[in-house]
Amino acid sequence: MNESLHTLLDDPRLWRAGRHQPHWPVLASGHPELDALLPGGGWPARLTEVAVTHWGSGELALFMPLLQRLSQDQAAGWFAWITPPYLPYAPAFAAAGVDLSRMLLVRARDDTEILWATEQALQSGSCRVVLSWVARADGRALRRLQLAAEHRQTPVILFRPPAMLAAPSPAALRLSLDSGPEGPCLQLRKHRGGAARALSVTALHGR
Amino acid sequence: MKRSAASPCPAAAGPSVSPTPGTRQGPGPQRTPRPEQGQAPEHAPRRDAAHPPGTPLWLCLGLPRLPLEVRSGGGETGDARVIVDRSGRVVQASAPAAENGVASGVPLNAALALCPGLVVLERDEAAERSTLERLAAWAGAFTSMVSIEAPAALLLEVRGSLRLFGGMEPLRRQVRAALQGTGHAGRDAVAPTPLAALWLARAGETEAVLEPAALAGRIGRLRPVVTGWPDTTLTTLRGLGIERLEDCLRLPRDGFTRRLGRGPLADLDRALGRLADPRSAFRAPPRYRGSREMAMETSHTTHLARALQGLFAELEGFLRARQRAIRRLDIELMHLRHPATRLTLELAAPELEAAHFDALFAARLERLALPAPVISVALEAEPGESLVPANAGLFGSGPDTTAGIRLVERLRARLGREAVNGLCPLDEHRPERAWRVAEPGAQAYQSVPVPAAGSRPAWLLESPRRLPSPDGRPRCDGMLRIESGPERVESGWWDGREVARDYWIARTPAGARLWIFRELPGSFSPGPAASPSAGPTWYLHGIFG
Repeated sequence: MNESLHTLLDDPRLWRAGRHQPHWPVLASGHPELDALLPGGGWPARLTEVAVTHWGSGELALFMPLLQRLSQDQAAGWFAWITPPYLPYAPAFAAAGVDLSRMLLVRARDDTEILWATEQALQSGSCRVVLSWVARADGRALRRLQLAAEHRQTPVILFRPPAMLAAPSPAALRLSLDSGPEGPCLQLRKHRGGAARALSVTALHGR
Repeated sequence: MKRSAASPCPAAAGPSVSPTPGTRQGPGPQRTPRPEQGQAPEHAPRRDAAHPPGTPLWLCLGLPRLPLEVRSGGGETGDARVIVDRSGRVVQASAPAAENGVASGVPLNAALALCPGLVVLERDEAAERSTLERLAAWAGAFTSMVSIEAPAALLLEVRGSLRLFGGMEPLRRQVRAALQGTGHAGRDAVAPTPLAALWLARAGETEAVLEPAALAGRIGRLRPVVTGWPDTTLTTLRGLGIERLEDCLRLPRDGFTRRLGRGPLADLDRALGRLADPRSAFRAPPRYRGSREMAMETSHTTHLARALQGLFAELEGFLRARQRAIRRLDIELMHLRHPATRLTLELAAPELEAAHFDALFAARLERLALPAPVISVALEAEPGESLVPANAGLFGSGPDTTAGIRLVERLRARLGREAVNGLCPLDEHRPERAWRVAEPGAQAYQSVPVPAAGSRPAWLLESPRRLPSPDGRPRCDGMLRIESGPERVESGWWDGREVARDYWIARTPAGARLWIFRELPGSFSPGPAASPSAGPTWYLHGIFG
């Protein structure tokens, strides 16, 4: 290797796959296959972005076991849903063992309000997990969310259209749910220390 | 201040101002009658006893900038402005005006000559009085005995509060910090008699006098002007070559009375604790109502927020004094030629902290469209429930409980009440009626049978969406593949919203799982009726997600 490449590789700002383990706390997803895929073995208590082409491709199934497990915790805290595309259907969550009295549904009118509400939810320290659906968000807004999530050690998941993958992001983790030949497929787009591979979401269904 | 002229009671008489035998402090309906020479009560408590629990200790909170503050939105503004009285003399000048040489007592035309851009405002004594009364109610958070010393001071008897607040200096720090929250500038002083505390506060002497024995020495160093005696009295004193009060104390009592009347001597005796000086306790109204005039017409949210912050701080003291919390705040923003804008902040749980009200109001301001600039703001609140230590019940009583409720309030303040909800399942077969929105955190009051895991979608459409089914087979983003079903739902014949449907779980080519149904023949259809030739009509009702 030549000199300039070495200099580049030694730069601390450069992240190199396989070198570092993530240094954030994680929450086990409840899906062993998914935990194997996620860096650190679970959802980071940080900002995660999930790009979803079609709502309902299995993005909620990713988080159901987590909500179920948090429901059994004695420690209180909301599960905040900021402007979901459809109505979370109470009987389904009851059937999945999610404590409905901890669901907090927030309807905001535009992306600015959604980002504001998401940040408020994080900063209040009263949420165990924040799920938010937002189309447009600039780097500054995302950084604020990332900092708030880090400060409160609370996972925040932004569900966004796939076009967002084009823009850089301060998120700890970026995933995408794409259509594959055998149904939707989860791919890691940005991560630290995790195995770079894809996971078929159908494998997670029915759990 | 003008007590000397109006003093109804006879003054003490004595050969000199050397200490008289005792004090007659304590409650009484009237000022104590004069202790006759040689008849002074000998049984009175000794002054040098290390303050017994009954000895009062007065904290005087002077508000020297009140005339300016009530006409400037509750705090100092950065412009050159003066308050003038009816005779056209400057009562008070703001710091920028004072830098130009405008001082109190200067005639208005002289002030305008010194500082041409001066903002001139007439003194509003009614507003000063009501502000002082609200601050007296606010000060109730520190002691139950608050007395108003018009025009611009409060007297707090704090002996009983020392223990609760951790001593004199911690108490004074808390009083100062709380006063700062209201936006008023204040000076405080502590002494065993109210008048001494008042004089020390006026002189800016902050070091506390705790021992009655030390009073004479500390009072003696003050200049006569702090007493507020009439100008004629002060002029006479100057003529006598008296610079400090200690010079007064050295004069023979009868000569002093002859020259200056009985008032000043009685004041000195009260200040030194030789004459009782009973004060009446301020009784706050049952309801809080405060208002503030803005420094100028403004639509600026930061100005509005600051004016209300002061009122919220007053309200917090008012509520703390009563150990009460509130559930609702009524705010009025007054405009010059427009009906007032009225806002109501509803709280999910009883609250009393000003910082929380600030945050709620700031969020509410975000979605507020003002019809015109605001000239003054008003706040009204009715103290409700007694303070409970924790808002138990909603979701346990952990540390997050309050934060959780506050989040709901904050979100509602900006997004509207109906935008923030909880979910509750209902015992009902019709899928669209098997849930309802609820207050966040509300527990289901009935136990609801839980459907089989995986049989219900996580997303429900607000109303079923009709799916095209050209050949009798439903399509949605391509041909649907049926995975399981049917599940028959027949219900609701009793309320006219009968449903009779077969539900299926189907998968789109892209892999999304859908919850679809087909109307059973002869039943009420949610959408336009399908022609019989096209086969059964399919609807999308949920997405498994």
